[in-house]
Amino acid sequence: MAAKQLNLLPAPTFSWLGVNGTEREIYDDVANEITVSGCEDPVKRITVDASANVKVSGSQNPQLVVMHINAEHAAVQTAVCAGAGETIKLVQIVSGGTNILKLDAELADNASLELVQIYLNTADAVSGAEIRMNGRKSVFTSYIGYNLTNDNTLDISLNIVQNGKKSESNTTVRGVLREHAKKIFRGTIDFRNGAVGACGTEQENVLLLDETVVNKTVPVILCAEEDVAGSHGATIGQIDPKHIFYMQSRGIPEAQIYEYLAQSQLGSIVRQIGDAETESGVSRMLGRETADE
Amino acid sequence: MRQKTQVADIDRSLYDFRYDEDAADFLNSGITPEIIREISEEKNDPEWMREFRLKSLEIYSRMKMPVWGPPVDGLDMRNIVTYIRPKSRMNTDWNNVPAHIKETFERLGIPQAERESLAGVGAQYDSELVYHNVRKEVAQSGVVYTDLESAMHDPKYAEIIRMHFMKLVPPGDHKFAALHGAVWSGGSFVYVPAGVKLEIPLQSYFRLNAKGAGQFEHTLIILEENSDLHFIEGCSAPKYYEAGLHAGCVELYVGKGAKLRYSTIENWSKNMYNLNTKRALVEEGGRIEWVSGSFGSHVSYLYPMSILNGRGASAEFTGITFAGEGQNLDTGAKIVHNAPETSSHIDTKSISKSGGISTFRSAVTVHENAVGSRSSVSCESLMLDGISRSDTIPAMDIRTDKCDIGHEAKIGRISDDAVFYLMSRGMDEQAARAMIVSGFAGNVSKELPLEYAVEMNNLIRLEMTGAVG
Repeated sequence: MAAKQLNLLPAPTFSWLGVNGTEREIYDDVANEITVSGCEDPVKRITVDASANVKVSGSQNPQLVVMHINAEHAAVQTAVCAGAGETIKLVQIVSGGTNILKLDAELADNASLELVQIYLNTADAVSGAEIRMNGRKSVFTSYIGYNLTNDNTLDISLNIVQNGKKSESNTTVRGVLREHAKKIFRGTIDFRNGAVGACGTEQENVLLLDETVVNKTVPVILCAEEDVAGSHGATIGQIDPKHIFYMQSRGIPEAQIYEYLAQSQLGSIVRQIGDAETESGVSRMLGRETADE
Repeated sequence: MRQKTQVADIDRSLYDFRYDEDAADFLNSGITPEIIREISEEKNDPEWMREFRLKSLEIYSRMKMPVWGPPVDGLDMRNIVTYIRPKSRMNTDWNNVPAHIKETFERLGIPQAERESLAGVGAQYDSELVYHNVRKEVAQSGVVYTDLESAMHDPKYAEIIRMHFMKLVPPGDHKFAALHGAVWSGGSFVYVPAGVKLEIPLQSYFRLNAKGAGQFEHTLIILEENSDLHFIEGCSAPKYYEAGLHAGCVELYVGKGAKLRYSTIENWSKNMYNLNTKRALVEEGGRIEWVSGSFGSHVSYLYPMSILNGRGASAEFTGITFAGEGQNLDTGAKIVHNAPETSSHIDTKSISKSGGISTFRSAVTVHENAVGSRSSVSCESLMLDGISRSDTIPAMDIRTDKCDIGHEAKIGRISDDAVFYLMSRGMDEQAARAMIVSGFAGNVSKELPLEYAVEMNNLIRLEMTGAVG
């Protein structure tokens, strides 16, 4: 095992904030090699319960790859290559354990990558992604959701590098923190010189349900091109008291209101999975089916 | 073919005049214990201050340069003169100020501003205050506005200075805070008694005339309960090829229910490294308002910090940064919510052109005890060409659930749609673009005192030329 700096912020900031990166021990265990390429099944489901190197490449047919990552200790590297005109959708469901995830993606002209990442009660997860949008009119859309409780920790870095002209990125992050959960989200949109006509948006919405949670959010825009449009936003905090009042007036007990709103916070991310079986499984893990009954 | 509309660079001719200095007045360049002792002796420091300086030097020597901001490689501290002996001691009569210094400030319009719209004025030339005056009726209300050294030697204020000096910004805060602690010189001390509300502002103006020198003034302002003050600072320097350094420090104590507005127009020349530290501690129900215009300097690190330490305390930061050719301006704000029901708002604009780099950097931290706190951050950046750079690096650290935190940022160019709309209303493209850029900076200029708003508009000089096609 060796300690390594992970999730380095592309443009570091005040050291005392402790958001410039994180350090973890990397396990030296042998990684399984998994390759997904041009599969005929419309949905390819992979279960990862140990360290793995996963390669996903596209084909002319749209592809949905669903990865369930649930290991006690694992380092999972995923490389995605979306060639010209290819469409790939990658879903990563991460639960439990101490996991280090790395995602590298490269998008060619007119390529499209949709990424759905859901983190459920991860004991300690470090997840770093770099999306290189080299292709003209390439599109990257991501939906990231997390539900953390107890002493769960989650450290996410999403670095979107937009080189391609008229490339477009959209990132939506929604999460719930309870008890002593700690989370860092670093989201960077990096417009490189020459990315004429590119646009990028990023929005994070965090619901905090206990006074002992720790939330850190670092939404960065780096811009070296004039003709771009970039924006990011974040809302962090408690449930609007007006919502609570309204639901109480409909006879719903307060404890249940928090539960419903926490579930709806993640619901819009779960609905993006696009695979009924997986959506149902994630909903079960979130306790939504029980709540709906 | 469409020709790109040009936005002129900041016109600095108003500030680029200089007077030759007498080399005999310069202490040796560099930072050594001997130089620190010499400064201390020149200034007749009390013993505690002499020790404080030497201790700060020790901290400076062992601290590393920041690893996260713009490069400061061009700044060689061995070449910086940290203290220049003044030709004249501090005066309260403008007529006693040496002629060339008087002319400098006349050209900058300071005495005229004092006559017309200020409650008091301080003027620092190189290392020392040369003039300080406060209106009689303001002094009679108990307001103290003087140079920090005089206050430190006055038995009435000596203990207050000792209790507050570099307590908000300790020398261990960062390398240039330590440097400041070692070599500080000049600056103002303001004390506003409980319940006193000044209707018109106080102003300090800092001028660095000498080549290859540093300016390290210290501003200490204490507002007692329910008092109210607007303090304005301005700064400029002529351009040299040698690097200059400004590592000032501002410490503001805002008492219960008090309100302080601190306005700055920073217009150092483009050879300057502006590594300034500003911090305010705000007690229950108090309010700090920062208005900041950053136009000058080669490199800037400037992030005024507001520590909201009492229930219901609030902070507002309004800033604009204009980075042109050869400039790397890293600016923003830091807010610490450390009490219940505190609130803060940051609103910034930045403009980059001709290869300039503008970075907005912020930190909002909400501690466990800041229940019921609110914060909103808004930053907008405008890129005026493809060779410049504009980055936004905000961070939020939230440690309670009972809070509402919002952040939004936008980056882009002048909207073609907005130009088209204005043109459809009968404006030509040049006028439409000029109006959009003026409007972009408008929220800051309207927060400034009138004469500074005029100065800001002169500084930006958004001259629009070019054919339309």
